[in-house]
Amino acid sequence: MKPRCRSIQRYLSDYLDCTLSTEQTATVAHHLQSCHGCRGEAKSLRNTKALLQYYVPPTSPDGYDALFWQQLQRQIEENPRPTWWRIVGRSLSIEFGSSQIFDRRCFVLNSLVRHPIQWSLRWARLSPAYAVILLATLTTMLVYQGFHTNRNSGLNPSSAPQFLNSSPSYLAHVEDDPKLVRDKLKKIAQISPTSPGQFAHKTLKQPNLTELATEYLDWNGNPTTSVIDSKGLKEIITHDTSSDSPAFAQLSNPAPFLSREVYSQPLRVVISISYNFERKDNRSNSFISGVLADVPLPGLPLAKIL
Amino acid sequence: MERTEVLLIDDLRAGDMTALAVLVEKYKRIVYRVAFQITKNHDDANDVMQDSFLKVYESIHSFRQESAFETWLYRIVVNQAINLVKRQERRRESPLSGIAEFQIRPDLKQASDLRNNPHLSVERKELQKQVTQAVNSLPVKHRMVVILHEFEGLTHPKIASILNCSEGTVRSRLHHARKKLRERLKSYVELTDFSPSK
Repeated sequence: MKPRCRSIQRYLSDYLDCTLSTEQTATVAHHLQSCHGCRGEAKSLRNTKALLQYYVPPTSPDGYDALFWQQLQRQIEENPRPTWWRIVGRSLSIEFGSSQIFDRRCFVLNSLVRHPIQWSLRWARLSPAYAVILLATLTTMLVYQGFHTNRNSGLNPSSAPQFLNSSPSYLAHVEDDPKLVRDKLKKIAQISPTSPGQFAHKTLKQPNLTELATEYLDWNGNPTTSVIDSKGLKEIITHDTSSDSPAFAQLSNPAPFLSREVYSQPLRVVISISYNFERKDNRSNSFISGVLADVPLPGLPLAKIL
Repeated sequence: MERTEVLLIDDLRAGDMTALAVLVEKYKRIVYRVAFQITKNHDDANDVMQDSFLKVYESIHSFRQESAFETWLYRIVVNQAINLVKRQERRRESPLSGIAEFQIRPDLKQASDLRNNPHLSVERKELQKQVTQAVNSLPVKHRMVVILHEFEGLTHPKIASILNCSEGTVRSRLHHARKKLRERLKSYVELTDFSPSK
């Protein structure tokens, strides 16, 4: 084979896939016109590629899909997200090499039983190393537990749809003390990265969305004011005492949503919490604090949301 | 990445099983196909599939959305499948692949379709069997490139990202894989003016 042919044939596969540059394609094409051997090589590779359409791709057996989902759910229930001991286990596996642990397990046990004194001496010699590993393990546990506690604090470790399921209780709730309401909003802010509370918390960094919320409430004829509390949580407050305010209507009346059985796009929702308070002149006022949020509702049945 | 998928991933991070169900529904066929093609049997493919989605559930926090979710999932599946094959190889102490190892399982839908379809000629069925066996007889690193490129339709850069190697390596493996396939399917390749019929 000529050196020229050898270098051209290295590119034949890419030539067939059309992944060469224009210049390289032209060079190979030009060579193929004049070289019978390389043309044959290209043809045979093309035929090989064409033959692959006869490959029978595997498909799962009938009924397997449902079974698989059951199995997966069971596995997830049995193995929830990494706990401290799994993290430790994994670190130890990485430390010693997982395959070696399994391969040597029997050997270690046997020798431990047969030569307890030697093993005791060996462990004593290596005790500083074990102490370091133990310390690292404990630190990992503490750090992870701290992280885990934070994640689970608040109301529920729920997602937006789950929040919506629980939200009617908030909407129906009328508080006399605005501070309690604000505390609730703060709690909501902790439960989920996609929850409206979190969104409200972020509004300071996203002024456009805050404006959008204000505009939305204004558009519905409700004069609004904004309040930023000491922790930076921004509330959009509308002075509307009627129960059919847009915020209530969005969540309490499912009519606008009934036309779609399954949501595949995010839904813009106003979450609101109403509360009453007594004024010094004995007149009472009702307030609604509303938070506009893009709530992701991916592919959920309507029944799960409303 | 699709907006819906981003939202699904956010929900999955929050522990929403419905989001996982949607992702499983969307990707289960791809995952099963790739897992089966690497492990070459249903039970192992099932194990890989379980482990892959479990890994997705556990590690979704570490997915930084720098690549597409699909690419990340492919990477997980390929790694799980390769690890399984390697473990089995260590246990058996036999070569990774061999023509004799592969059998089309009778419980596979497609295989039963082939059996039951009177329009498929014996020759065609034989050709399908030979091609499938030839692909499955490739060494695992070559087989993976062929599967991902020829059957999954992924580009060279994407495959390189999944297999954690350079694009040049992908091209080279694909070229060598095709040459090996050509050798194994010599009698069919040599048919002049071969034009595959649909």
